[in-house]
Amino acid sequence: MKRLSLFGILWLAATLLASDTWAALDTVARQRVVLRTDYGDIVLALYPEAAPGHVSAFMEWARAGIYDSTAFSFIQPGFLIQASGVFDREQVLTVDQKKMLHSLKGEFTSLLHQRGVLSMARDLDDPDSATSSFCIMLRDSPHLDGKYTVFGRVESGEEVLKAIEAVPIDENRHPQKRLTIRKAVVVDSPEAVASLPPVDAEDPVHKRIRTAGGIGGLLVMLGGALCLAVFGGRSRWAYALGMLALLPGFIGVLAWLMPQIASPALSSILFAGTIALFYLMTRFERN
Amino acid sequence: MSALAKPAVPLISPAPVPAPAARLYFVNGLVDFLFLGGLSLLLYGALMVVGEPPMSGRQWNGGIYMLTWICNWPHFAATSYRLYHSKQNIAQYPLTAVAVPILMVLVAAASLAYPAVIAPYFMKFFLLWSPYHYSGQSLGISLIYARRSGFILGRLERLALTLFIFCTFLFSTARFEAGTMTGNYFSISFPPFGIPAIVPKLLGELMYVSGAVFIVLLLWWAVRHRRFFPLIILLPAVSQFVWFVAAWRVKGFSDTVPFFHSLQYLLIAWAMQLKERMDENGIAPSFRYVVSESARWGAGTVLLGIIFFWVLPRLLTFAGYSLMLTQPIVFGAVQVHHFFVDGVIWKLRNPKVRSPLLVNIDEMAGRGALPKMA
Repeated sequence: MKRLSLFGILWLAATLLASDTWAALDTVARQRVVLRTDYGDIVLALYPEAAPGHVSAFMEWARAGIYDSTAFSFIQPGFLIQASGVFDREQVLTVDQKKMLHSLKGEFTSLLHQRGVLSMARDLDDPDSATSSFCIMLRDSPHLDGKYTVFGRVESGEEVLKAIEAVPIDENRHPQKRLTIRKAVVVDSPEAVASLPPVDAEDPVHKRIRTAGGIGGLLVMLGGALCLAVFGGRSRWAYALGMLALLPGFIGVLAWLMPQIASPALSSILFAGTIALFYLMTRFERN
Repeated sequence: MSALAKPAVPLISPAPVPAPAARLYFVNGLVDFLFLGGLSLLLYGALMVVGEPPMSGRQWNGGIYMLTWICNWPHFAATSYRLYHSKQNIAQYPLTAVAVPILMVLVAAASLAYPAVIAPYFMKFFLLWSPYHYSGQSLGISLIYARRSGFILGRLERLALTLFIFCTFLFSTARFEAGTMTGNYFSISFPPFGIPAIVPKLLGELMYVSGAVFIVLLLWWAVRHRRFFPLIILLPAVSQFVWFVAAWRVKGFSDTVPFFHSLQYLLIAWAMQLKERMDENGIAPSFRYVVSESARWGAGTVLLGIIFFWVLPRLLTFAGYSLMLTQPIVFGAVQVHHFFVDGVIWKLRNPKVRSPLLVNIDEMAGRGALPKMA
């Protein structure tokens, strides 16, 4: 009887300890990270007890703007969507941002890969190679349990996940339209999520420079074309300068149009125009 | 005939002009094969067998970086040296020598001033131009060897070869441009054009069709003339196909492509330099001349390469710019200048260019008859 009681106490203690461990692992931090996408916001709750290194780095990188202008660049419907992190970023990383990046040591726990879970991406053959790329699971995936670091879950934004999952993909599982994470914002509490202002698509100063550069580039190109048409046949210098003007003009036009192109036809014209320009540039000097 | 007019080229290649076998190569069959793409084919084969580089990514990239110092950078420097080393060249190409560097300085300055607005599109422009330039070089080398072998390509053969070579570049480029992933060069990211997915498919089909037509035309030529064409004519095109298409997914290979492109260039620029200097200074052919001039020219291009690609980006950091920004922008400006210069100084229809491109190293070392400068 005594032995049975002792066994019972031990069993109870082990159960309590285990349940306590479970509770601790999926305890969420008070802060939230909000991924602001074209489809809406995805609110992430993080597990600092389960993956302290990952959560600390993820929040630090989000605060530093490292995830801004990155994208969801890999979709496997019914399995996961992957944010590429710094590997697919529109903006230039600053020196300070670059310095912050480092590999993360694997923090594998018994937390399960279930729908909505955040799992850090890494090289297949190196458990300590995770950096900024992460996945959001779209279904339970027990084959990943204990092999990839689970560091949080999606708290809200299920409709955004569904919309992203529905985007058409190519044969390499890349989405056929860019799914930009415009900003990743860290807020101090779940309540603060509601008070986030709408996100601007682009810095207005940059937008003005881009527009001015584009219009200027267009004028330079037209000037160059005019120079070629009127004087190109008579003067070697006019011919060459007319041709040369096309190059900076075209770069200005690219900088202006490319961020706002939605039409595949216009994209194709710009692409063909770029190739045609290379051909012209190898023939700009007559001798 | 105006300066730009092309010589008449028959639709189908005419009968071959007999040429001595030794003149087919700049050095010899093995060296020319290795430099002009053979080495890249061997590496491709080896990587296909072993699956991936037999060393860590850091070691592999470190090795490739070492090669840039002794091969990639000197290849850019060799172009500048060729243009600027004589007043005659500068006088012949004043716009390339003066206006293009000024333009590049302006574009680089605008990119440094607006790294988030201008720099990404300058990088995109230059990185698209780079494989186009590779294609031009591959075509040019094929034509050089065709000429050296006495095999003049007819218009149809030339069209098929041109289409095939340029489609390898267009196909691989369009594949990226049809996607949504941003491209990266150092720390600068740039978006894809977002062209329709059908474009790379069509370009891929055009590439295979033009390649098949070219082979059929060559075989037809061989049957008609009962002579097999020199296989080295095909080497640049095959190498280019491997670089841009076949080895696309072979781990570690794509990083080596600029090295192999530079290797092609250096062999021909080196032979050209030896012959031109010999003619300019009336130097008699000798082995000693070949060795001393090769050492002088080699050291000069390595040094100039270091100035362009190592010193210049670091000097700009004193103006307050980050090295992560100055490196890609300076690299882009120097390389675009190189594309311009190459576009004008290697015209095969220019006799002053054509003649040195027919030399063989034995002739310059005093072991054979030299062709006369036109």
